Amino acid sequence: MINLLINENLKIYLRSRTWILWALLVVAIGLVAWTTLSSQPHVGAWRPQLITNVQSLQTALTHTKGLPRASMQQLREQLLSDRYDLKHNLDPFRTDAWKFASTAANLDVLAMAFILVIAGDIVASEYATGTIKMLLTQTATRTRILVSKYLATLLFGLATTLVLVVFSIAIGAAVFGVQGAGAPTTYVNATGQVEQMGVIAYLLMTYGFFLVEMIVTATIAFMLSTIFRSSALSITVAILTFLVGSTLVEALSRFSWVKYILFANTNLTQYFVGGPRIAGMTLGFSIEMMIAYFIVMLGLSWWIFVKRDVSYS
Amino acid sequence: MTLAPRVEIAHLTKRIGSKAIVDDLSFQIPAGEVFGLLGPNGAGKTTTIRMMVGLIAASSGTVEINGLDVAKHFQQAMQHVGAIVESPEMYGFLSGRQNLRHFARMCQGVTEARIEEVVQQVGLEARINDRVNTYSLGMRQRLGLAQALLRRPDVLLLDEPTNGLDPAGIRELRDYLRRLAQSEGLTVVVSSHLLSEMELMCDRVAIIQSGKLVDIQTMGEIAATADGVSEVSLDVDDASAANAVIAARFEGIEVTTRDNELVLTLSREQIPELVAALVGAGAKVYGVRALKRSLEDQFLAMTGGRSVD
Repeated sequence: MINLLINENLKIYLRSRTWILWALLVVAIGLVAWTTLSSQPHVGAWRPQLITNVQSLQTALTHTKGLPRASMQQLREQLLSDRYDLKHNLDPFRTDAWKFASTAANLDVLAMAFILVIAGDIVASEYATGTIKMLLTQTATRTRILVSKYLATLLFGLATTLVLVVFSIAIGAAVFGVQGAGAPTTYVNATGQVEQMGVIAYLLMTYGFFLVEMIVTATIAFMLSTIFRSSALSITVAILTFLVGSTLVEALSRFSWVKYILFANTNLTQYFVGGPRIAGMTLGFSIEMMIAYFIVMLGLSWWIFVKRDVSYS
Repeated sequence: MTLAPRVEIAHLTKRIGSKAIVDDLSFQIPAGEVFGLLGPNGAGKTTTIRMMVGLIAASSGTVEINGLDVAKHFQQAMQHVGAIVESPEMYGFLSGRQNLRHFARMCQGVTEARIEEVVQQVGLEARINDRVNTYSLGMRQRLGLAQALLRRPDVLLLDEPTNGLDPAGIRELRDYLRRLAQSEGLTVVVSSHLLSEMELMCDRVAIIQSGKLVDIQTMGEIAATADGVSEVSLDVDDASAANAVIAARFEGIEVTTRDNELVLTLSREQIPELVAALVGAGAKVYGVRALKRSLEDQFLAMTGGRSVD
């Protein structure tokens, strides 16, 4: 089993594609650092800047009509947190490595897309190249081969997340310096109150929930990979599902049945920041839904992979 | 060899819907034999080979390798099998050696020394550290063979092994397989639609058509057909005189005449009779030759003259 896992990992990391994806991720972090740096107000000028922001937010909220509910909510949260910063004399523009890392955490969408590329490819590519015949005519059972591929996928997901975290902190430290890990982050909690949290704790929470989302989403791509046996198709469908899924949930959020859609549940951050997307959803419910989907998807992948005849390619 | 057969196939059947792709195949192959599966495209050869290595599940019937059922004891049975199914696809982004190590990790007891050994056996030492992407088809075939030999199998299964090889490559592969069978007692099963190829390579050939076993032929006995009738060619001085003698003595026998050569079909016992009659009538017989019918003729006759591509 360990040997099979070594094999699957080698097949990921001995391909230049993997390293190109990671390089792109690091370049993206660099771009975020550059944008953050160029949009920083002059030292000491943060108060007037924040007051202007609050004023324009207020204008936008009272005069703009027809904005989607979600956008309105976002503006309102921004306003709440800006006012909080003004009242407590906190400079929201002050950036250091930790603060930058939590900004760069927005690149998790990109990291997820890259993880889906590998997850959608890992079974399908064996069919596409015909190597599946060599792979399945050794002495390892199909179940073991599939399990090793799944574990390798999750390990790659973890490694990619680490690349994002480590390089955001490193690039943040190089560009903005480290000013103490205790600096608080302000955010609007689930009940609409503004709260503070240590930046490292905030970072850990963000990435902890990202890992949960990553496991579930990578499992979708993995399942599609075994079903379709085509890398292009499974990667495309997985990324589209991931991107469209949460938008769809947003758009349909007035219907209560939407809470049974997987993507309404994958982002657990909603129970701590901003509040649940659909009224009546709880953390426990989302965890149950994810486990249910997880079992069905893995069961289906296994059943198809083990039972299907490898016929003419 | 009187040992238990290396490969035993019993009532092997594959149905897709109501159509039987492979229909009640049964045969046994002893150690050290090169066994061929011959049939037109779509006859079920590849499906049979794929069922033998567990790529396709049999609808009914069993495949046993050294007495181990492939469906029930996959791991133990496959430890004795090396296979190339269709073309030898390897990971192009890995080197030949990395590919072999990859497959070696998947089974028990294949050491680095063994990898070295098979690389030498197939003559790939010079290019083994290059990426497989840069290999020619012949080299990929060698690498595929090296992969199949890694765990010192008792049974080697090769599906259409000569596909895409040039004549020199085919010849080399053929000699190599024969040597493996003779010196190491390896049982080799090959499938092909190339009849001439099978004649040269195999000890026995199973002819398959529409998923059914038509016949199993031993290559040495190919000239004599089931009822002991053979085709004979006679070289005589006067064809028309000889024809007259034959017509008088063997009524109703069809004779084809080409210059002074007569070709006719008759039983083994009739041959000396015919020669005696001709000599008795004063004809000069310079030569009597039993014509070997090639497998192709038999194959065509047996399968009803269907086109073989």
